[in-house]
Amino acid sequence: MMQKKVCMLGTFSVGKTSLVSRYVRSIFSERYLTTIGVKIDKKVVATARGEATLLIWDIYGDDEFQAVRASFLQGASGYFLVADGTRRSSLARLPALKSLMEDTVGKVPCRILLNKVDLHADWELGTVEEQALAELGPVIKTSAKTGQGVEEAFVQLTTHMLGG
Amino acid sequence: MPLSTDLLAALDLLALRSIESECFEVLGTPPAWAAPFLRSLPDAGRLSRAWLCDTFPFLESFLCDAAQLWSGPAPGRIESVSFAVPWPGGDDLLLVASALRLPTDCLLLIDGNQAHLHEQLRLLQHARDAHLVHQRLQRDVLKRDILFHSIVHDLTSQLSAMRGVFQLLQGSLPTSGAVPPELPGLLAAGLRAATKQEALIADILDVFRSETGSDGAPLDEATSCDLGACIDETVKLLSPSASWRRVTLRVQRADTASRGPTIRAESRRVERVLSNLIENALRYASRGSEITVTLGQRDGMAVVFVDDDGPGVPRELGAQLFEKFARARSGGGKTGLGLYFCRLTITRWGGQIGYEPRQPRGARFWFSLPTV
Ligand SMILES: Nc1nc2c(ncn2[C@@H]2O[C@H](COP(=O)(O)OP(=O)(O)OP(=O)(O)O)[C@@H](O)[C@H]2O)c(=O)[nH]1
Ligand SMILES: [Mg+2]
Repeated sequence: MMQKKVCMLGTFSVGKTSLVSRYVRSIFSERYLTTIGVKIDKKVVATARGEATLLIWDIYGDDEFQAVRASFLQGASGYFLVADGTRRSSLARLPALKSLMEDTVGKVPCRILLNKVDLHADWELGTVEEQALAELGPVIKTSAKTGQGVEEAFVQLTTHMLGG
Repeated sequence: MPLSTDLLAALDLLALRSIESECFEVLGTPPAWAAPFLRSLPDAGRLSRAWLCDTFPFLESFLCDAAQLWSGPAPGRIESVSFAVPWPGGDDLLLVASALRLPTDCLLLIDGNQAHLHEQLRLLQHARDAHLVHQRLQRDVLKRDILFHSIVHDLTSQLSAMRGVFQLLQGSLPTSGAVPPELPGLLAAGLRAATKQEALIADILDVFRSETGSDGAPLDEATSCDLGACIDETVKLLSPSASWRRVTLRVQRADTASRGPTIRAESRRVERVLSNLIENALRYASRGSEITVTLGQRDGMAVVFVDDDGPGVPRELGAQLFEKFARARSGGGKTGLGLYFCRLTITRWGGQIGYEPRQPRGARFWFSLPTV
């Protein structure tokens, strides 16, 4: 079966690990355990265009002290840029991450995950920010807590990677 | 004496020597953490690149970098970030890989020292948590500021109503007849208090807008105004208050032109800066003295000096004069925001602001702004 490498990119605490845990293991924890380095999970996805084994690279939060290295992105067939709707600052480095990705592997399928949609009361983004996100790529609103949009996001990206 | 074959295991290192292409041999006794992984090997002493990448998928990208080092001429060492692998029945195992190019050998070391790696993780977690708390606090402070300023803003409408009533009453006082003798004075005092209160509120709101950038900055190219006209306007506005204090306000121009210079700034806010500086001077100038507002040029910038003959600024206040709540000179119903607002505004427009003592006494406040 075809193997496809997918990277989770975004600053710290946006929910990269939680989205993977929700998708791969159907679990969610409120507790924040930061990711040091890289963790790779596997999952078989069935799409209308066939099956693929995803190698999901959950990478540490990118910030000004610890930027993501280009070598992690090599060989990726697709990626997610993850933003946290309750923290406007989580959008800041996404354009740079997108450029790094494109410089390393070229233009490959991408989805923008606007995560934590379950937290309405703390939502910090307005239409301006949501439009800025949409300029980076197709946006999917997700919640690792409720599961909203998560399956859909992985299936959409995989379909796109399989040539859809 | 040969090194103990247990040394590497004791250090939690899985050491692999690259032999022929795509193949490695295990050096010494493997460490305990590696045992469950190596169990699946047909020959425990040898393993292939494919097996390595299948067992530790992270190594796929690291081995590309390692291959470059190994094929190069010079000895050296590179290290990966840490990577987590599922550990049978427990937490993830944290590992770090390094590639070594020695004169005789090419080595791949996988370090599984959990105590060391978990210590790094703990530090990172602390930093992340602190960063989140900081962001949350900043957000809360901003929310509170907005609330506070809406309240302050709401105070102005009642205040202008009060001022209007005082003005009406003042205007409708009969010129003769039964007016209690103290009434005109009381009305004037009420009017002064309301006006002063409005100015305080204007200061607070100005600072808030400058700090949060909600003042419409940055200026677009077309925004400009006549600095001379701003001075005339402000002086006109403040002359009643000056004459009440028996102080003369005099405008002095370095050149004879009656207009200009044109500066890239917004007149309403230039006038608030000017009135802040002149009101300060009025507060400290002695009765019967003169305050001079001088308009000149310096290094291609327009400069304004506001000079009074008051006691000047105590030396110890100097450095923080333009900071928030710096209690400019002795307090008295001021917010301590006026000069702070002036600095924010002037520097935002590419200008400078400053203070110098005058000899033998008095204060000179000045600011400069680029001309168009
Ligand atoms: N309510 C809610 N909380 C979420 C959601 N996704 C993540 N969280 C919480 O957000 C925090 C951070 O989640 P992580 O998944 O660890 O974030 P990360 O992006 O992997 O963070 P780093 O590894 O540090 O870069 C955790 O406390 C999660 O419980 C969500 O969709 N809704
Ligand atoms: Mg994580």
